[in-house]
Amino acid sequence: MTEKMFEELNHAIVVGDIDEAGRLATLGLAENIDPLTITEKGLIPAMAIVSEKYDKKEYYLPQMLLSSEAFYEAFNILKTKMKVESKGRGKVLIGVVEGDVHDIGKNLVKIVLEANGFVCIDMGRDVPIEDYLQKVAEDKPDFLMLSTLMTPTMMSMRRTLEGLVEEGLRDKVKVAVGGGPISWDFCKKIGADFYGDNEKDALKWAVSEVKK
Amino acid sequence: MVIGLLTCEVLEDEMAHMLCRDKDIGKVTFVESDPGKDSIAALRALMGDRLTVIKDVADFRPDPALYLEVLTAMLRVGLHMDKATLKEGVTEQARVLSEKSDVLILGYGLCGNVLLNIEEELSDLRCPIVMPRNEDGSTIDDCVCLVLGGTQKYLDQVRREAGTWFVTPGWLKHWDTLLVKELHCKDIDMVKWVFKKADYKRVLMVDTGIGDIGTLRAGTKNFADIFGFYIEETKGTLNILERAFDQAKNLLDKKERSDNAKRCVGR
Repeated sequence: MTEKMFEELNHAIVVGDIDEAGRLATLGLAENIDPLTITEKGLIPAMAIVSEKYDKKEYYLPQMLLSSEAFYEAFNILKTKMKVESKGRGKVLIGVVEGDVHDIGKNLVKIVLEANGFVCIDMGRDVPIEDYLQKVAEDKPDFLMLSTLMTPTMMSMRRTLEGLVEEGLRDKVKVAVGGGPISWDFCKKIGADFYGDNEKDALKWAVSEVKK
Repeated sequence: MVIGLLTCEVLEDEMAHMLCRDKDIGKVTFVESDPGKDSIAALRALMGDRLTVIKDVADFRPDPALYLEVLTAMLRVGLHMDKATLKEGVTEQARVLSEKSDVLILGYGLCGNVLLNIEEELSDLRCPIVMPRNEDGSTIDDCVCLVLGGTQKYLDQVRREAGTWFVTPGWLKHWDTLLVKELHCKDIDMVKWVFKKADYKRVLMVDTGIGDIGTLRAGTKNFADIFGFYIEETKGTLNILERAFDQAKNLLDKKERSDNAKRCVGR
């Protein structure tokens, strides 16, 4: 019965059935299944399939968005019963830079990080540089992850890095940048630590950094 | 002398305007294509027999009696939904056009940085490339920044309202192609849902002064009504495109002087 439930939950997320994902997460908890087990077996494999479908051009932005919504519908229900350490595997401050509302990439990174035990503070989209700097100072995250889809708003990333240096915060946080127009070249130019092409890259890097 | 012009379908009205109003241009030769068919019709009405349509770039024969003519090709608007397709399409067509041109204007910007290194990658072409640029010399980001008058103008607008959808005549004409077909939404309701998730709120009509303002306003209102956005207008400009054409002409003048000098030395 449990395995069938995991299968159905994975399917609900892959096809973007938000209500069904929520129903199955609730059902899993009602059957006293550990929420971490539900996440590992019912949610993470689904997002891996979604990601693969996107890479193969079977899925596009709307389908990714629907699956993300279904994931969070289930995950937010499970989170209420999860016993997660306050910092998890690491604390991540994540957001889209000022002037940009395109947050699907950021949300996908957040999904895989949260599903893998990282605690994410989601700053949302169109976030002013000062807000990132203030939050880095206050919450002392291990990672700051910045995203943008548009070239004009890329400079906000550079200014955030400059701000971290000016505020004496640069050596206190690892910084990753990502989004359609971003590249390793740009990452190096602005003095960030990591550029990720996708959510899997971001997770792999964060995991390797916390192991150091 | 021949200016090659490779441009995106989304800029068809702006480019038609540039080609018609430039008194130096003696003739425009358009390479026939599906994305170019409306431009061809518009240019035919405006330019009469100064417009020639050819099936293939190989058919182009420059007119030695003319000081300046333009050989133009247009690529479909949806290319930019896929990075590899856009880069491949622009690179391939630029190579073809360059064979018949003395200078080549690329009517594209960085387009999400897909074309960031395009000039370097096409440095082996037989003619120089001109791209639309900001005043500081940096390559323009995209078609929206182009008609707004530069990157800073774009930033000023998104700082006022980050959830802004910019419309020009081209974007209004092609929005269904871009938002439904190319984005792989199953219908307009799905586009609405995506817009809502992305928190788009405003449609900003960019008026560069070309075309009929009433038609532009009506199209903007229709778009805003469908998606529930509020409308604002801003003045755009074709200054950046004009600078690109001027730069191309300056390069041609230099080439002509250089060719003349070589001929004198050879005598």
